[in-house]
Amino acid sequence: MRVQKRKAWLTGLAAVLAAIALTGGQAGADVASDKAGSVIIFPKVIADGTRDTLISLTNTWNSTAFVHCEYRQGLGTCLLNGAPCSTDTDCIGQGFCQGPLPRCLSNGRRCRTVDDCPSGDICGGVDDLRCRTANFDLVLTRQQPTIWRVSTGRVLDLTADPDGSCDPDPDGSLQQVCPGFFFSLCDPENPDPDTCDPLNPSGRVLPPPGSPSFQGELRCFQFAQDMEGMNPQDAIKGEAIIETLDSPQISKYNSINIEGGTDSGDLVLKLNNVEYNACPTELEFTNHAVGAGDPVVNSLLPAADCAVTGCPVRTEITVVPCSSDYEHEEGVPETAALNFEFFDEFEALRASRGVELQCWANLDLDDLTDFAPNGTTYLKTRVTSQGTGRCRAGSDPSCTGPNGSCKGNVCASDADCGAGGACGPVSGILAVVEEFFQTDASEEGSAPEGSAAANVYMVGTRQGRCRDTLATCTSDSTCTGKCRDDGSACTSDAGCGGSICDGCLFDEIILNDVSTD
Amino acid sequence: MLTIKRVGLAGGAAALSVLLASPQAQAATVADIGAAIVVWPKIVAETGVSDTTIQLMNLDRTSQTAAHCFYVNANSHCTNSGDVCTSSLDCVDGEFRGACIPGWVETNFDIILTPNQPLAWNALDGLGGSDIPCPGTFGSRCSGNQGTRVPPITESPFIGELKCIQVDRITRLPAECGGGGQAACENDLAGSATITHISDGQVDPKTYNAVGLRTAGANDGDGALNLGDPDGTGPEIAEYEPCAEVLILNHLFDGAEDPISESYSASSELTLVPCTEDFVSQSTPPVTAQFLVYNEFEQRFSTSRTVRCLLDSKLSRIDTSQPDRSIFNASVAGTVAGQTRIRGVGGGLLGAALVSFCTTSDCDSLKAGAAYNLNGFADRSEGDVIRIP
Repeated sequence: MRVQKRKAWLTGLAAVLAAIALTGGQAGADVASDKAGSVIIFPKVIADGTRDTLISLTNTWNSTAFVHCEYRQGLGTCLLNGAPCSTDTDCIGQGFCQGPLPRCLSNGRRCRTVDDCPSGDICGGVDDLRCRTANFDLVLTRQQPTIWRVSTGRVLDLTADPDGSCDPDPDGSLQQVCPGFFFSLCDPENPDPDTCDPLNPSGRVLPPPGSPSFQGELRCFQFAQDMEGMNPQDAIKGEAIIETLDSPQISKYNSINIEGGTDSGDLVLKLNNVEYNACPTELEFTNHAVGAGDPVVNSLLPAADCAVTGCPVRTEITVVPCSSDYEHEEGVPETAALNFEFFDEFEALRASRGVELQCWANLDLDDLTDFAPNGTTYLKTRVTSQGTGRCRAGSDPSCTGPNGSCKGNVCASDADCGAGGACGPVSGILAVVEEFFQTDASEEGSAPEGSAAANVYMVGTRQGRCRDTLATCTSDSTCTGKCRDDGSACTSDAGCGGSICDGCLFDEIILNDVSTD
Repeated sequence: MLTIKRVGLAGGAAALSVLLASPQAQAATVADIGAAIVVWPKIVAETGVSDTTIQLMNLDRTSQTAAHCFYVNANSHCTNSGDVCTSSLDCVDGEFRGACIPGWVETNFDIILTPNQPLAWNALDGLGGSDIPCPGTFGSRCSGNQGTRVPPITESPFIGELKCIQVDRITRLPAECGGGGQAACENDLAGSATITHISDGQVDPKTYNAVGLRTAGANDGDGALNLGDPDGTGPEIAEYEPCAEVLILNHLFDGAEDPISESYSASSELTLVPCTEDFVSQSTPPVTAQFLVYNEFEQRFSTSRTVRCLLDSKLSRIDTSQPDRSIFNASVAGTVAGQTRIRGVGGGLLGAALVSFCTTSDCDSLKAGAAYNLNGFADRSEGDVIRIP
């Protein structure tokens, strides 16, 4: 169980904050991409040698903003060929997409030991880089914008270019922000000066084949000056520009921003419309049907340029869970069961597909829309997070998490989560989409694909669910409260001796205590 | 950007004072949730060069939704030749020089969306006849789009705005709602636009979401759509949420070197349209857009520009005709990234932005770009009004 490393004065502060809630600090009901927030999320960040990303971040406030950011690596590797992947659909014919937890080689089910797998099978397939995080901090003066290249990061010196600034710094005079150096090239057991990155000498993480290769998410949090917790003033916003290397083709989207309300002062950010705005219930967007030619491209280009391919448009959606746990980095990644529904122009539901999400997923919709367009050029796609319960805590020898952790297991009640079990709602989801416009020339590789990203539409507001019973709820008062760590009855966090009181559970982001780093 | 060293508890008092401050007021305009009014600030098309795909969704899962839409042709025209122009330099005809006069011509049409139906059309072609998916005619696969017809734009090249309003299918005015005994007001429209440009055989798509205004209270169903409190008599008469007090644009300064390629230079375009529009008298009041521009050194610059019906400009041409001297130029600002805060005086503003990476600083060569939505901050205390016939 996590220990909340809070200072005593924060307890009193919580009461003050409660009063603030009565004067307008209440969070609303929307997560937004067009308003600044206190938690901002870039679901799609790429620096993999073929594409790179520019992150722009702005303080819209008239005071200094202290920002803590966390990258999360979304890529794993396919079991058999080691190819990069984010879901099992990327590894068809190549086993499954390896993650931080072992799975049975034959059926892909999670396992703890070989005894959990069919006879003669092997329990393995671990890629412990997937879902790993790396963090850094920055300070933005009032109204200050900044920008950095993900693969290189940027140094303190404002006169330095926002790229290439993480070059060797022999005298160590520059304070470096090198978020792009997610993977160190150093092997701590056998450091090689020819391959070690002097700016990340700790070398705790070995890169996968082909690294440095990063595809994942970035989340930034508006912290208080002491960096001990949040300061939810909704001051920060951002954009991401994903650029195809050796080409001016770019895609740009706005960060998805979560507005703050009455932060409780601890490191568990509850997206419950009181502390922070709640996530949407579903995501919707319009995309091209698989194989359907784009009418504009076909009308503007000479017919010969689309003669072979028909100039179709391929759509990728990048999905991240609303919930995120930075405290238990070695634990189970946040999971959700995604459900995709595709409606065509003739009002027909053409398909419904399910995909398991593990911390981050970048999906090519061509892999999910395996049906003939049948006359439709566009599809309306709806994505939801399905299922009701996932364990938030608990352990049992039969569970497959580290040290028997049941976190992330599907559950219907606390009893399904083992000793100290806490069953709460499955995480909500957020996403961006990116479309790739293809031509015969791009298919041949003689011209780049055109690309455009967009924020998706968010529909509804997620309701909470009571711990254990999973009954829908809107506030803690409608549920029986239980302390997260020992299951004892409680009515508030104060009654849980450093743990949190679970009542009506929503999505939550658990921050690591970075103040003593 | 500064990295920081961790500080101890010594900052506790300071932190407390910061924590006690209230969160910022946020704007009510939206670009990622359903709304009753959706606005595409920038629709461009030119035969053989570019076109805009407009997508409109009905977020209601069970019912049809009707939208009454208005194209605004904001082309300027030469006084001597009548040709479309962007400046008077385009109006030189031998010895005769004409002026380039801004225009504002509105065309309206109706769309009926069936539940869950994605509908899209191209500005140059419109949508009609056999292209309508569910016309309800004999032999058609479905019904529900009867009454839908989107005309093609009337000129090429074209720049303008599109605005769609959720209405009652019969009256073509907003449905009375939100009052005693009336149904709740609905926000079922969502849309996006993809501007596709073809250059040297390369496809350059740019997508942004339509800007939405959600219902705010009871709607009396007349043709005056009150965005916020239009006459200062109280917010209770607001039918729709107000426009944002400030639009926030994050951008790269024009001419800044692309930090990734280290060879392309950035060029941004901004499009602004007024919130107040009178489609009955075919007029819009001029709005003064005040720009506050911040560079990464926290230095502030300012300028202003009048928005008569639609402002579409490269950033570094907003304040001057000499882009190299503009406050939006990287060589003047001295940094790569900037934040620009835009406040409308005399009316609210809505907008969208484009960024392109080009091989030359004037961006008249190979380029590719992306579109994106502006952020809103706070609500206008003075309302705006859209009048529809």
